[in-house]
Amino acid sequence: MNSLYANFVNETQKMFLKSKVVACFIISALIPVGIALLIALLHNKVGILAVGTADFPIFILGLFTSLILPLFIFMWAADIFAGEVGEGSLKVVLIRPITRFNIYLGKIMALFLSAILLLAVILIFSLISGIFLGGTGSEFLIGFTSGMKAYILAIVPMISLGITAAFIAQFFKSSSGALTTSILVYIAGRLLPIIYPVASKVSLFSYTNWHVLWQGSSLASERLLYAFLIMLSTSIILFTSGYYLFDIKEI
Amino acid sequence: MDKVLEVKGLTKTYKNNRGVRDISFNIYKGDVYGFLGPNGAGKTTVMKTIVGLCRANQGEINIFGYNILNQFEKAMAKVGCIIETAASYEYISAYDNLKIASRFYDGINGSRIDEVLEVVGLSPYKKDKVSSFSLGMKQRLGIASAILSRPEFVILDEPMNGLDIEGMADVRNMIIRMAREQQVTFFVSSHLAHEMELTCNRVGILNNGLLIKEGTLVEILKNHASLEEFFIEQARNNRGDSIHE
Repeated sequence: MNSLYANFVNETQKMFLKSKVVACFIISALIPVGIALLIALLHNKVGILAVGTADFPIFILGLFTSLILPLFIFMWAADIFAGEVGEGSLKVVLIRPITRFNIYLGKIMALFLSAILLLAVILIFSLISGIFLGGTGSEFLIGFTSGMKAYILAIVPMISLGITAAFIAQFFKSSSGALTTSILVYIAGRLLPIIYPVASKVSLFSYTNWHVLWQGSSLASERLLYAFLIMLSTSIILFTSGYYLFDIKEI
Repeated sequence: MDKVLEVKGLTKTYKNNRGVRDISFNIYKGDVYGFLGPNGAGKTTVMKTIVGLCRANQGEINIFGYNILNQFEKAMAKVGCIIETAASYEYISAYDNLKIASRFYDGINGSRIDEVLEVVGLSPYKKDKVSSFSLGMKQRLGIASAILSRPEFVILDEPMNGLDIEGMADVRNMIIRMAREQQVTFFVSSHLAHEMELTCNRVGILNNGLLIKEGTLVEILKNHASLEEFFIEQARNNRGDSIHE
């Protein structure tokens, strides 16, 4: 088996054998259901319907991409890099016939796949729970098509966040240190534009909800391209730097 | 003779100035080469550098003729090893740990995994999570993982760590059997001179980061009652030499 593919399969298997990761998927499935029930309840009691069936998947996506998904991605990245250094299990793969580049890339690919699968789970459960909001069949169909597009678009910033978290994890020998730092960096990145508005243009963290930019009738193509290039360039720089740190790591 | 491992002028120093200096030696096909030295002599540092866990400051390392810096995958393709401690993923079963390791090699299937688990006596516990294992069981799993791919060269750093008397005898017999019957080459480190004497045909004495003596066991035992006596004599003769001078 090709060593990169072997490592990708291994990392994915390891990922889903962790109860912590399984718990993230269960929580992510339950949140849309809980919120839909809450909205339906409010609608019945007060008569206010905050979100309809058609908008519900995108409403849920906004909630996940700004808060919950980054947290889960930081947690997984911290575990597969810094956590394995701390536990001494990184050595298991380092002594196999595989280059460090393929190890690093395989781990990040498994991280991407997990994030994509989680987005798929959130989409499915937000679509199903959106039915509680009493929408029609056509509203469900609108929710499905617009939701599908938004969820696919959301993969891009989540990949960038995964690369960022993997880079940060290279500085730590425990998952808790890497996770805490990733969260602090993320919070700082989100708050910085309040003090320095210009930071919002160049910060990767300002584009976690970039699927919103794609909505509406007239798309600002220049703005979209700019956002994409910011995420792409930051990802390339952080992937290269993270790999360099991983490559020189002594165990 | 076919060279399996070639170490030339290896120097590796850590920030605290400890490490190894100018280590050169060769291991040939069929050898059971023992690295004997006290704790802190630098045995693990040499082994870590050989398998790429550490970077050498100077020197060259070739395994089966492949340089480990620029042909790492080829160099490690026929190598199995345990370095420092037998590492494994604690949250998964012994079987799954070996399954994960097996994907890096061709032709390693479930029956081979069962076979190595049988060799190290872990078959009854193959579905148990490693977190429930004792130190000795983890060491056995590490040995199973090292021999899983039917390697031609096995590097074992202190393989007797954590093993009981029976476990030590099992590992020793396994090394001797694999070397004799399958021509597997071994590089074993230990601070137990008696264990080395029972297992190895060639020995290198490492002290204070320097390889102070090398020789075959037959030569050594011609003039000394035991390997332990030889080791003590060599260590006393070289007391002044150290990497930290």
